[in-house]
Amino acid sequence: MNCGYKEKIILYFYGELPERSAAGIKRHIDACASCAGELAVLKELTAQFEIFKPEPPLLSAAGQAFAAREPGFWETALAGFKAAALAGAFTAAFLLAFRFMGAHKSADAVWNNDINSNLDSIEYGIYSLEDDMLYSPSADFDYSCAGIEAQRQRIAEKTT
Amino acid sequence: MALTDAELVKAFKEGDAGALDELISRYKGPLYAYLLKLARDSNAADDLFQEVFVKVIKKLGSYGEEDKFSAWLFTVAHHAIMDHFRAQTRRREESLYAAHGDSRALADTLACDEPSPAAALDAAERAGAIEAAFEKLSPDQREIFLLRHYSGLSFREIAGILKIPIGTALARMSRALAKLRGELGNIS
Repeated sequence: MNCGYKEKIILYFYGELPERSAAGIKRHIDACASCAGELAVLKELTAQFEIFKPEPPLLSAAGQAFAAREPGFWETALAGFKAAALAGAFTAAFLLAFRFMGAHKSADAVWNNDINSNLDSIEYGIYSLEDDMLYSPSADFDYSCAGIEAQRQRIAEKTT
Repeated sequence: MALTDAELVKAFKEGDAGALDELISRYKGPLYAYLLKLARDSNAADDLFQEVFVKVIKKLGSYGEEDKFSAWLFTVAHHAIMDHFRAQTRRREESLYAAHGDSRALADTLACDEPSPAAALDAAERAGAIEAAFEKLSPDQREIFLLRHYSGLSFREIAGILKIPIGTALARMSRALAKLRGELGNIS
């Protein structure tokens, strides 16, 4: 239950209440266990803060002023140059890697295309022979067969 | 007679590096304690501590001498640590999800490793229990306590840093206190 004095207790503890209000607060604290309890907690907490005195790091005005200064022209120029050199090095490395990967890939592509076109020729030859076998008399078949054999020999000579 | 913060800032702007040394000396303790308690990581706190002063120097042009230097300093610190949390939350949610396969919040996961405080404890255990209960609060709730204690600023000024109404700042602390009391049990 909020007795309506909670914030006033805090102001009273820190001495921010006008003198005329302080007397009324003291009377309330004597009568309200909740406010008395919170005031006691505030006192204990403040006592802990009082004894908490950590040693801060060493700072000098000169050091802080140096850290706070704006970088000079040459410092800015050097930083920019370093950034540009790094970007250039990455770009060069990337292009080199790309060139290497790309060259290797074209040689493979040419090799594979030659084989693929030879396989296409053989496949077409077999297809034609099947067609002839179905629709030609036997003499024609012999003639076509001989033609296919010659073609096969030419391909074998080309690929070996 | 010691120079005021505004006078030291003016001197630094005019080239007196010793003025900044004096400012660092005045605020390094509270600022570092605030960052360390909130970040809960000494490496992050060290980095943030340096980052805050570098940002202060860079933004000195926007500091008006009528402004309170401590408010301005802790505003810079607040933004720095919020940026840190945003980056940290992204990284940890990814790793938490990978480790546990669910979307439990970071605070819940950390809380699982903490022991539950008992009702009757001796002083050292009680301090440990308070600290553990405090660590279970959300970063927003912890920050309210830490800002109020370490910056010395009023709640009105803290509300200005956090860009929330003063009522919201007080309500946030009130809810956090209620949660702490619930964790710790009745001590009055």
